[in-house]
Amino acid sequence: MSTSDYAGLVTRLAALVVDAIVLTLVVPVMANGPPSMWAAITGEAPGWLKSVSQIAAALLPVLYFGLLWWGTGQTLGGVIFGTVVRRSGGEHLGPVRSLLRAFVGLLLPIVWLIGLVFILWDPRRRALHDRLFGTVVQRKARRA
Amino acid sequence: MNDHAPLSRLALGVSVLAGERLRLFDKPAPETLAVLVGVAERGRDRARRALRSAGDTAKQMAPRPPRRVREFLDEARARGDKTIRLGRLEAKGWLNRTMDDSIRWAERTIIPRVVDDMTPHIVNNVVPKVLDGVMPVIRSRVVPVIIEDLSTDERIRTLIQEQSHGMVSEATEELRENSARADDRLENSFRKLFKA
Repeated sequence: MSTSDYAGLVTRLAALVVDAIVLTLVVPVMANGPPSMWAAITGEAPGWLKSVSQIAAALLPVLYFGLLWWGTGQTLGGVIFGTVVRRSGGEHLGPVRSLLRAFVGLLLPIVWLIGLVFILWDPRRRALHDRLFGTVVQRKARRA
Repeated sequence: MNDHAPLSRLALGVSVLAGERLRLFDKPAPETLAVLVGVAERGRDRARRALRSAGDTAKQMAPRPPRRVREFLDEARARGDKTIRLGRLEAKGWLNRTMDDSIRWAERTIIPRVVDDMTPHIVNNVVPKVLDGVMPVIRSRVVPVIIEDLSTDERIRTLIQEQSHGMVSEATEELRENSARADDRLENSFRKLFKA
């Protein structure tokens, strides 16, 4: 595979922006939606519902990235820009590896973003976290 | 064909054509008619000759033996048949010419005037009334049926889906190609920068 078969910095950042927009819209809905609906129906929402909603909203980004990388290798940004996350050998990611990759990325976003600069000189366009987790981001082959 | 056919033959031709159009008889004209026409023609000729030569009248009116009668009828039939065919042909030509001339004349003089006079009336009076009467019916009864048919027609739905899918695919493909080009350009710039 040549360098151009892997997604570069611009594509990966663009896909990341799409995912960020999606999460920016969905996370507040997840955090405030159920308590608001409860309040609209019966009055004050119970504390446990607020806590559960907050926890679900906090976990949502990790689950979004982790489960989608594990399942299809593609988040929504990846679907739009035609990129897919695979292991270095081309295999699908396992659940642990994908969830860990998502967790670390969300925990250390600055390191994640700075690590993307590694793409510019790596022959397989791997970022720092790709090297760390043994992954690559490939371009999906065009349909004939 | 003679442009100035005798009026009687022309009238006969028109009658034959009319008879054919009305399916009173088939083409060619029936034998009886031919005989009648032939007899009439002969009678006319004889009458003319009789007028010219009154002295021969008695001889012409003398009784005939049966053989002479048969010859007379055969000759009359042949002559009548020829006259009918000729009259028919002449009448057809005359009718065609007359119709063509009439249509050309109407196109040149009558129709433009009628159209010029009628158009404002139709546009200002007739069309609004028709629209006022018809549009509510079209809106309430025709359009819903058409929309229903179109929305349930599997071919239309497939067509719309394919078009939408095609447009989205095309846009996505363009986006991907642009981002791929941007990737390459950025990396090339980076490499040049650090080489330099």
